[in-house]
Amino acid sequence: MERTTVASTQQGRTTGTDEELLARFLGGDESGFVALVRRYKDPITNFSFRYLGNYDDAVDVAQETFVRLYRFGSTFVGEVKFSTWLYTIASNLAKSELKRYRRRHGVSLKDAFAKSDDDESWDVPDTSYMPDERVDGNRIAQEVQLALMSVSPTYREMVVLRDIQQMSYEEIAEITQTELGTVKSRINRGRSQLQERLKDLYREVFPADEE
Amino acid sequence: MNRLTPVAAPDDFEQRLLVRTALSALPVASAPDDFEALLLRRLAEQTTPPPPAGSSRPWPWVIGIVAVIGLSVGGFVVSRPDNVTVRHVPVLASGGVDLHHLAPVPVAEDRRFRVVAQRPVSIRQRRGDGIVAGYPPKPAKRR
Repeated sequence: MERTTVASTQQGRTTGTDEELLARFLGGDESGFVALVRRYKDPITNFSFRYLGNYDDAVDVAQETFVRLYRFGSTFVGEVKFSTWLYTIASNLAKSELKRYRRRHGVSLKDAFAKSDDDESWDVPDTSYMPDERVDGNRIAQEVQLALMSVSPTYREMVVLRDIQQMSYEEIAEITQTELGTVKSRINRGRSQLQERLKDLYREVFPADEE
Repeated sequence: MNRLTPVAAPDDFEQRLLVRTALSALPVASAPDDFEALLLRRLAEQTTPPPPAGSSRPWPWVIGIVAVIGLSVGGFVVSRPDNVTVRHVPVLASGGVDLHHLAPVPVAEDRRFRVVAQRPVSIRQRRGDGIVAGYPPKPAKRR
């Protein structure tokens, strides 16, 4: 398949639905690919960053997501929305990155037995997170991201997709390949964990009434 | 008159609200400015053919595994006893014969076991009288 060069498509057409752009790309017009990259590079980077907590790793995951789109875009069969499909790729890559990170840095025995009650995989929160000031410039944002990183990754992924990426429960169920009821319960548990960890911030923002 | 009891917000309403507000107010982590350039470079790297085998150094762990295997075999050879009992076992030499294309050979009947190989004869045949235990003898057939 002969493609038009990317350089010639820098000012290419960026209108159309995701599926139309993908079809254009698969038909040999790389302007479709460029338009999809420009449309989704920020949301995918943001999702990866909020899940992984590391900006450089998040950018790497986002890049690899688009590389997979470039190479395996033809495997998209349209059963779900294109954005759902793309987020599924990013989610899987982010999980793999998290596993690699843990292999590199090791997991303590105590943490290893902190198994999630409804998940078969080891679900270890990240306690070594350092705020990234390139993204979270103010203290509150840093505290919220710090609390987010202390939530179990299974819950964190769903909370990020719901409360940060503003996705529907149905989309999250598709992306994470989880039952709808499980998605809702995990989001609630994730929020409860966050609530517990953000108690100090709550007291600061909502000071107790003076009798 | 409204008889429905008022439904109050849960005790942790403000805390839940804070969590959701704080999450939605987090700044967006945008892709860096050189995101597309990096992506194109990455695509170019992945679509170019890999260098010929042997041009790059093998990974350290491959070297490690080879070294461990080598040391194990070396240790086995060194620790082997000096006195070795050799038993000669007759080996059927194939003689370079292609087993898939064998030439026909003359076949001779082996008569040594001919007696043994005779078909078993029933008791009635051996006795020749047609008598079966517990039954009257059959009348002789007329020819």
